[in-house]
Amino acid sequence: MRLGESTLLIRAAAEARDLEALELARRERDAAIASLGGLPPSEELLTALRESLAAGEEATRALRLIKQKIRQESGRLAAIEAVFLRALREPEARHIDCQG
Amino acid sequence: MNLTGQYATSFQQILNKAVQTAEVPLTELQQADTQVLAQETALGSLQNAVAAVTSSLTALANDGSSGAIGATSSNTSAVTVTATGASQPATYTINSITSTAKAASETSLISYVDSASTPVSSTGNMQLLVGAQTYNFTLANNNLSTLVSQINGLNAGVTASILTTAGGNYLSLSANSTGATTVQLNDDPAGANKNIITSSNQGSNAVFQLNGITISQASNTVNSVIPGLTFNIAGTTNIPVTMTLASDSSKLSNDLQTFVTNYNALVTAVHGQTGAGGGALVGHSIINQLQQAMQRITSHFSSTTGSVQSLADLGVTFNGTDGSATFDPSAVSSMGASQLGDALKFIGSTSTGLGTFSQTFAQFSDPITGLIQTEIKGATTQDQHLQSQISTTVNKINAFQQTMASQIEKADTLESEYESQQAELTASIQGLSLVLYGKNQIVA
Repeated sequence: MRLGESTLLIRAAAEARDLEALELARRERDAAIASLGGLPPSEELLTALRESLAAGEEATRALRLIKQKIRQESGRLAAIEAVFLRALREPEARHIDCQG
Repeated sequence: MNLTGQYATSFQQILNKAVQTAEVPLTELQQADTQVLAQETALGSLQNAVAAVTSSLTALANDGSSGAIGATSSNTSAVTVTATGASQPATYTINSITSTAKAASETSLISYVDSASTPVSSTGNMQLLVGAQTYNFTLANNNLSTLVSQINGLNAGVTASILTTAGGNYLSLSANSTGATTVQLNDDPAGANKNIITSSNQGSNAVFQLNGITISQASNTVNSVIPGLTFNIAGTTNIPVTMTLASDSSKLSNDLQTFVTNYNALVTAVHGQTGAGGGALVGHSIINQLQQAMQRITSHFSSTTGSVQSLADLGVTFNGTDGSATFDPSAVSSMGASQLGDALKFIGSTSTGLGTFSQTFAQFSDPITGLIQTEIKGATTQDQHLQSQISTTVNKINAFQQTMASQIEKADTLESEYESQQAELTASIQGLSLVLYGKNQIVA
C-alpha cells in the first residue's frame, strides 16, 4: 500500500475514533514506510510524507481522546454498579420475621 | 460486547451502548426488586395483624366452648389459682396447708479465715450428698474457694458460695429447687467421714389437704392434680381455702377488648394498603379477600342464641365510616347468668358461632399454610430470582470494565507505535528536504 492510502486510512480511523481501525491503519502505514526506500526523491513524496505526519498527529490525538472516553465511561459504570450494590444491601433491613 | 466495532462506527456510540446495556436492566431490576421487597414487608406486617385477630378470636371461641371459666381463691395469701383450660364449673377445698415448699440451705459449721489458703479438709478428699446422689471428689487446692468452685462444677443441683462475715468466711450450700432433701458435705469419707455443714434446713415439701386428701410435693406449684386448674401454695393456714371455677364475665370482657384492639389494628393495616397513596399491596387480591372476611364478621348475626344475637349485644359496635370497632364493657359486666350463657352460646367455639371466624382468619395468617404466607413465599422466590439476575448483570458490568481496561492498554501501545512512526517520518522528511532543497523542512 502506498503512503497516501495509509494516510487516508489513518484520517478516517482517527475521525471515527475507532481503535481497531487505527491499529489497521498503523500496520498499513508501517508497510508503506518500509517501501519508501525504493522511491526517488520528489516533491510528491515530500508532500505525502508531510501529510502522513499530520495524519499521525491526528491519530495520536484520537487515541488520547479514546482513552479519556473509556476512562469516563468506566467510571460511570463503576458508579452505576456502586449505587446499585448499595441499594441492594439496604433492603435487607426491611425484611421482617414473619413467623412472629 | 465488542467495544471496537466497525471502522466507520463512532467509538462513543459503542461505549454509550455498552453502558446503557448495563444500566437499563440494572435500573429495571432494582425497581422490580424494590417493589417485591416492599410487598414482602407489607405482607409480613399484614400477617402479624391478622394473626393477632385470629388469636383473639380463638380466645373468644375458647371462652364460648369452655364457658369462660375463671378461677378464684378465697384466700390469695395462702393459695393463688389460675384456670388453665377447665371447661366445667367446680369448687375445691384446701382444708389446711401445713408447710410450703422450701429449698434446702446449709452453711459450714466453722468459718475459714482466708478463703484462698485456710484448709477446709483434713485430707483433701470430700463427699457431697444431695438426696440419694453421692459425689466424691478430691480438692485440687485445700481451701474454701476451690471447694466452692469444685462443688459448682459437679452440677449436683446445689449452688455453693462464700458468706463473708466479720468472723470469717463460711461455705453456703443451697439446693437449686424446692423440696425436702438431704444436703451433706463429708470430709475424709473413707476415714473420719465428718459432715462439715449444718443440717438445720434440709428443705421442705408443700404439704396440704385437698378435699380431705393429704398431698405432699416438692414444688409449691400444683398443676397435675386438678385438670384445667393450676394453684400455687403461698403460705400455711389451718382455715379452709375455697378454689372456685365458674363462668367469669370479666374474662369474656377482657377477651372482647383484646379482639377489638386487634381488629382495629387490622383495619388500619388494610386501610394502609388501599386507595391512592396506599402501600405496596394496593390492588392485591389478598386485601380484597381480607376486607370481605372483615365485613362478614361485622354483620354476623344469630337468631337462635337468645338475648345475644350480634356483636352489638356484646357491646361491640362498628363505625360506619372507617370500619373501626368500639367496645363497651358495661354490656358484658351487667349481664346476668342467663345472658352470659346466651353470650357464650353466640360466641360458640372454633367450629360454631362467632368463633368460626378464628378459622377464617387463620386461613390468612397461618405461618405455614396461610394465604399470606404463600404470598410471602412467592415474593421471596421472586426476590431470589431478581437477585440472581442482578448478580448476572453486575458480572456483565465487571466484564465490561475488564474489556475497557484492555482497550486502554491497547490504545497506549498504539499511541507509542504511532509516535515511533512519527519520529521515523520526521527523519525522512528532514532527509528528503535536504536532498531537494538543501535544508531541513518538517512541517507540511
